[in-house]
Amino acid sequence: MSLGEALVDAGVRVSGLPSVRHHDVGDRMCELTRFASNDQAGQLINLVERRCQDAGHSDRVEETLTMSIWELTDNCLAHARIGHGFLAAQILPQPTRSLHFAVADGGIGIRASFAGTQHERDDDRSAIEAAVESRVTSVRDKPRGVGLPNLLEWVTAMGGGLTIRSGRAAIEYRHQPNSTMPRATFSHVDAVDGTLVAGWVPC
Amino acid sequence: MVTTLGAPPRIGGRELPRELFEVSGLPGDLSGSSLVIEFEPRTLYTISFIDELVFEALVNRKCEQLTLRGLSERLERVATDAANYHGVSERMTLRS
Repeated sequence: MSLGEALVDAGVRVSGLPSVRHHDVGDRMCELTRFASNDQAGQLINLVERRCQDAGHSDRVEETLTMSIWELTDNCLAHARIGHGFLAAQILPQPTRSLHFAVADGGIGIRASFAGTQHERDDDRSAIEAAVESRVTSVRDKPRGVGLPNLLEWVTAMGGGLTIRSGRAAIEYRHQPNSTMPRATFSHVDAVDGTLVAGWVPC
Repeated sequence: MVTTLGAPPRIGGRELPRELFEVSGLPGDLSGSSLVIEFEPRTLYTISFIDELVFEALVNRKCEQLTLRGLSERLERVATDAANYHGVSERMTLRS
């Protein structure tokens, strides 16, 4: 990828980045890509899916990754009220080979998206906790709110993890041995605009 | 009457079930009808699509009996959860 161009595209003021020779990173899939519609997100998912197949990942890894990206990009477009977001995916060989993905937006954030609905929360932490509950959604009068809870379950059941950061809160969910519920670790963080969801699965 | 449809061969979300029914020319009211939807093993379907499909077929269009054939184990659970949530599980069958 061309990091400078990607950052400029993301609205970041960039200066002083050294000039480096472009090289192919092969199946490590390091990409930062802007999306502004389900069609664009779908194209990215098809690309990721092909990479998974070329790399010989299991159907379960492929399904988890593509599903996660779809649900997260869809959430971003439906709830962030900014109209676009960014997706990155990469394979890291250490400490164990794993596939990492992240979807971020600079929108209103999770707590604000629940404002005025029956799921309204007073702080960022409880808003994130609500977002991973089944059938909790900022969309009024619609039976939604199943994407994030399911993918959280899938990712952690595979031994991976998922971190959700919005406002001043971040919660990391990891697989918990001998339990069907993931372990949640909360952190206070510097305030960010919008929402970042980053996950990984062993591959 | 039993109608069999193939699931769409492309990834999509909540808009896809309505699109599938409209393209297939099915009426808005499926009372008294049974519907079988066949899923391709190498095609990826989303959680949102499956959740909305159950709602659209059994709740919105009042289909009498919905059979989903060929879903992955994890998506079968999504379909079961959706049917339970809407109180229509007795009208849905899963087949491998």
